[in-house]
Amino acid sequence: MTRFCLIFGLFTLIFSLTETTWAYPEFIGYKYSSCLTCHYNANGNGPLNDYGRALWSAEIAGRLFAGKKTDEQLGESAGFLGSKPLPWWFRPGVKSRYLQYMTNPGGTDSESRGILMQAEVNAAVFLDRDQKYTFVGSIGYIPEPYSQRNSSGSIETIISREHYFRWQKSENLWLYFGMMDKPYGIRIADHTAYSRSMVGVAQNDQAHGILAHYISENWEWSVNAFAGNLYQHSDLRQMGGATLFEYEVKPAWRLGFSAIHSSNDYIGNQRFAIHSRYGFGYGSALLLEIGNIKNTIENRPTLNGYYVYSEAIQKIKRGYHIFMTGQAYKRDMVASAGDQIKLGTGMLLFPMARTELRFNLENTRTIEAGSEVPNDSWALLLQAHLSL
Amino acid sequence: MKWILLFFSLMILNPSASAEPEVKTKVSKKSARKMATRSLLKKKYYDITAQYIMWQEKIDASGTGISGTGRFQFSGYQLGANLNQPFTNIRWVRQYSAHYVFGTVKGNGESGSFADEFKNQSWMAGTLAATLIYRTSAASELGLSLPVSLRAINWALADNATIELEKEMSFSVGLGFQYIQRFNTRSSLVASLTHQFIWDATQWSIGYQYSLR
Repeated sequence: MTRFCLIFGLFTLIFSLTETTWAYPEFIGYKYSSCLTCHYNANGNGPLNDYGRALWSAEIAGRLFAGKKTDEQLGESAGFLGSKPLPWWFRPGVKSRYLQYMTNPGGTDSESRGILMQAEVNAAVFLDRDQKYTFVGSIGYIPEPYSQRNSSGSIETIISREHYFRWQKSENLWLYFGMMDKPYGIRIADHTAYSRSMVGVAQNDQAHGILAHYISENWEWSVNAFAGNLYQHSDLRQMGGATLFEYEVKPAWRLGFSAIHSSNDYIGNQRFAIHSRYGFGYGSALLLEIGNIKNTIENRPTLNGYYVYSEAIQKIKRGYHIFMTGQAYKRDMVASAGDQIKLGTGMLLFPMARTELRFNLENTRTIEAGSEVPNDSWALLLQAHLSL
Repeated sequence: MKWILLFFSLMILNPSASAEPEVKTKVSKKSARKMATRSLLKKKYYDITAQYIMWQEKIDASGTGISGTGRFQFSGYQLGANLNQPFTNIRWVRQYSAHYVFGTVKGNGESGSFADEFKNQSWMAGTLAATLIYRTSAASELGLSLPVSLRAINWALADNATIELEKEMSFSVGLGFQYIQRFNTRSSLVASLTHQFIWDATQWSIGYQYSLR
């Protein structure tokens, strides 16, 4: 209890005195611009630390079933076992994401299917009380790819998406060794977005490597050298480097750039992006990322495409948000390749601590250079996320 | 006694020496700000908007040996003006809009007997809409709108074409969702999603809105 009180006291103190941070890139609208304070991983994603758990419960999440509990009490009971203290050196967690996906809702060709996208346990183990030396790891289930549902070969469905050792070298410099996400662009939760799926930074694109993250008052910079996913065959491993830089122009407005350069025996990947994250009022934000995707494929013409991700989100009331997204993607900047446009609207809900619900209606359209008009497609996505 | 009198005289001459007037000043400044904001939010005001709009729609065709449906992509620009009237509860605003919309359409037939292709066909439309807006904060708003549109497509076909396309002049009623993000009291980003029932089409638009306050 004492430890929780100390943590919560620290949280309250920091929260009342300074601009704190948040990991959902959208929550720059709450004036939280960096990921490090709430996540063990400096660039977001992965398990939340104590501070992140308390902040989520006490400020961001709604108060469904909270009764008469104060925000302070909600923050205090945000631990894995509620308000029951855990040993100082150990922080476990459980994450699960379920997606219900419906194509062309209301249409005669409508199809619906549910996917358990993630079911994993994770843990952070601290080697010292200051958390300068930390091990973070997760292991869990991933669904069998739908495209390979009829294949005869066995597919590994229990994997570790991340496991790394974090060393806080100084007040500003953090070093990471192990398997983790590559730092690139705006790390949004939707891994089917063009800015993630087409770039190669989706839910299963982690790589083994070394990452250095420097955080200053007005800027953050990550540099990552990676040897690919060592669980893959050596000829498939994408080896190379990635970097992500963000500068805080003014409170709640960050501009950044990022790049990836990697290759395996068959394909070379080069990506470059610029982005902006802008927070308005309290709970509203605009995100914009524009990038170039260059794929150099052996014995084939190089593909040089682009993508755009944009999102506007606003808070309706505490824990409840509504958003609109606009995306574009072109595989190759030639007239014969159509522009794919994906427009969406939906709700991002945190009705109570540890729970996230996301509703998203997406309309995908291809715009060809000629007069051809392919069929529009619609999709309704309902996602539930439980994080204990 | 004279010291007491002197003290009170100083108090009267120097209001800052007294805590009470200071508190009053603070309160009045705060309420002045509140009143100014409230007064701004209560007032009726106008917007002018410029938006990019796009949607996909099916249009039937007929003619000698031709019968079928085609898929058409519309894109264009929407210029308009809004009148905004806040309710007594300033969270809610009623908006009346008029828009002039114009652009081009392209498409192709879906079936073997209607396999023609169309490009750069021009169209124009007028839309009137009534919208109920909810202010989620001073910087953000959501709206539900009921637009009525009248549209004319100028089908410029080859001189010897025997095909006839429907919806040369048509109207539709819709239900729309509007998203407004205010950068400041005058400039906003506005995006909308509208389903037009008679055209059976869902329109997306995004643009800039300038408020005349």
